[in-house]
Amino acid sequence: MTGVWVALVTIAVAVLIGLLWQARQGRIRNRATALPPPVRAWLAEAGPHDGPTLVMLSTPVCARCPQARAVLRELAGDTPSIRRLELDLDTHPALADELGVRSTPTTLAVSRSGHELFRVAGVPRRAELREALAPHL
Amino acid sequence: MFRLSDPPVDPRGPRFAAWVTTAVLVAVLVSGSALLLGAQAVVFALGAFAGLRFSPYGVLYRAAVAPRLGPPTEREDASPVRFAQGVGFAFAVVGTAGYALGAPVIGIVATAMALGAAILNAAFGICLGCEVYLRLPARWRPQPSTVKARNNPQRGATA
Repeated sequence: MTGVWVALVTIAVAVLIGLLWQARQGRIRNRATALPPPVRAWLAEAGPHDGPTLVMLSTPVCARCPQARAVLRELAGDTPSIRRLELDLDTHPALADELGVRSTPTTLAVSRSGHELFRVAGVPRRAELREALAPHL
Repeated sequence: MFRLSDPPVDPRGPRFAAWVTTAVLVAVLVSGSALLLGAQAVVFALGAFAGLRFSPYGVLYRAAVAPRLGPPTEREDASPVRFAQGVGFAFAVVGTAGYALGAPVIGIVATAMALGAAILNAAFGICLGCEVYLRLPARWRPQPSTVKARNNPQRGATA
């Protein structure tokens, strides 16, 4: 009988966690903070850019990265002033800690002056991302 | 541990497998059967260590379900799925030992944790590897060769 109760409670808890997780996915979280120096250095290597940069953070184990990549590729394709970069956190593990990123994909929107504007965990929602970037174009 | 080179998979396959796993793990909790959980551990091991194409639920999906659904619109990398199978294997082994060696509480706790992960995967498509990868010590991190090769040009990836 214990097993039946454990199964029911586990299902309920998992569904609750899943719903909370789903609500957070793709949401834009405003940050407006300066990027940590190592991240600025990494960006500087990519050269200057006159417009916002979307940095997609990925790892080798990332089921949704292809979907997130497709959304960003389309957005950057439509709007030439948006630059799209990708940062593999596996090869830059220290940057994950510096940025406080714990899951992938996470996308950072960075202003031309190197400030983080906002970030999106999970696959970005196309229309919301476009809207959030509009004032920075 | 997970040097992988599986081809990309139809994402509906792992979701189907997660539903079957969910049903099996609920049956384990209800019955307290070490044998059933042991069988699930073997299923996890085949997917994680031999490759997804050897996973019995994957074989069932390709034989019985996929032909009715038509071709997939997208494919996803196999390594997150294999990583999750490996995590499931660890919990299933601990749980089987618990049930078999007279420590049912260990069996129940380990099975419940595996069940929680299976439900999150089946119902919400949550990829365990995506959520835990950055929190794992480097030596535990799965390093799939296929993804590495594909992601190599990291820079200047403007469209």
